[in-house]
Amino acid sequence: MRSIGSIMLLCLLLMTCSTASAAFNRTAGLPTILIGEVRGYGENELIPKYFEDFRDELAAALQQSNKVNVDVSRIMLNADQPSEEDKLFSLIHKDAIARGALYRREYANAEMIRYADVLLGGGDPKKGRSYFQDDNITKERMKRAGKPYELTFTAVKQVNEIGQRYGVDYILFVNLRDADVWRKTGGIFGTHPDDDDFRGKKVLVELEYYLVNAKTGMVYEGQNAEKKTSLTTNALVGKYGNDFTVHDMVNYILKDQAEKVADGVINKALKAVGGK
Amino acid sequence: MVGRIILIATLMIGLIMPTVEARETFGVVDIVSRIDESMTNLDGDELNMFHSVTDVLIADLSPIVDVIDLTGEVTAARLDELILQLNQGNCSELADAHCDYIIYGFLMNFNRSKGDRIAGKSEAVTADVSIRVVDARTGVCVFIAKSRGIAVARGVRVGPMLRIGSFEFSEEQLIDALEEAAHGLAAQLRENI
Repeated sequence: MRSIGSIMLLCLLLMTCSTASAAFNRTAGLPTILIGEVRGYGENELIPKYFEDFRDELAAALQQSNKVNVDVSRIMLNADQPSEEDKLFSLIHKDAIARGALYRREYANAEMIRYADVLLGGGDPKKGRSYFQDDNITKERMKRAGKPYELTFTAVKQVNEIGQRYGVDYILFVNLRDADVWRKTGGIFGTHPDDDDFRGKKVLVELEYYLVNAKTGMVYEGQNAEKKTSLTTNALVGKYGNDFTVHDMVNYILKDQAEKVADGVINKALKAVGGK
Repeated sequence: MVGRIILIATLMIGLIMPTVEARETFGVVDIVSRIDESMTNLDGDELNMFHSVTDVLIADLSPIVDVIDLTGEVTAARLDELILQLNQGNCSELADAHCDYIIYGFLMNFNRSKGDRIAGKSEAVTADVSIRVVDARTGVCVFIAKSRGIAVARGVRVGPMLRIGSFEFSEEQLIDALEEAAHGLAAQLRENI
């Protein structure tokens, strides 16, 4: 009778296990990356549509690699009304940028400059700016490029909490620093500029990505830049026809960039900050 | 004797129940366009075309999960507002549908691709579609998939044409491209469900 009871208990246990949701489960043994914030802290910012597209492309590229689990629960951001958590992620993102070797004050936006001035100058947040440009310091910073570094003490604590809350190993931040389209004056196509047509224009997209280890607070920074000149674009016009627009071009470049970021995260960043 | 009967009954329930309970319900909302409207002559009519993505997703996913079409729950004019709410993690409007997950998505880009030669045709329409899957209870996004569909013109083109810049193409061509993208999305979903 006792054995019958234990078998029944086993059956009931099996039932409860199998009825639980099995969809979209994380693959065991793979590191989990939370896509934290994709934003532009540079001078020229893209319109929100491209950020949305880029987030989708990035998440899809990481998922399709089958080498990491991707947590996309923070993919839907409402930049107009940032929540307290949005502000926290923004703070960590700015901390990672300011402490990295790739930060350039002259290309950053006002929000970024305000944060970095206080952090790098070691000043009082209430007093504001205490950082002044020093070429030697910039050179020293550039030497550290490609090497992992640590966030500030408070940011490390916040990263640890976020890691536990979401159950993730790493948090990914992308700074779409610069995106610009301009007419190529003096070029052969520059004499016939057309707003709807890509010919005679240049497109530039620059971005940096930061992978933060949620346990240690160590950061790896990488950068990608894509500059399409008329030579490249003429080839693309040949491929896509004369109606290849700026919109298509930016989409094309962002897709390319998303794949490069995913590649960099998997092959470089994960190894650098203690990937499995 | 009674013990044996209870044991057999429990075993049978244990075997049957998982297959009954494990089927989750997915609700699908039509995709919306994220494309700059000034570039094309697409207007409100494209909603009918976008519904082909929903149809394909339902057909491809229904063998493994229960799928329902949620687009009927909202009017076409309110679709954008509903997507905005879903994007902010608010699923309350679709609570009556009792879904486990809600699928919605976007047409990211579409254009012709001159170089992709398919079946001897030199001009094809490409459509990039992305979908997001949100947990209907929490509103949290759990999965993202993206796929591209390519379609060439079918026979003689008649009727009103769609336009991108000066390039004209038929509605069927866009629908074919959307359906191909939707098959790709459904395949990615099936791998993860």
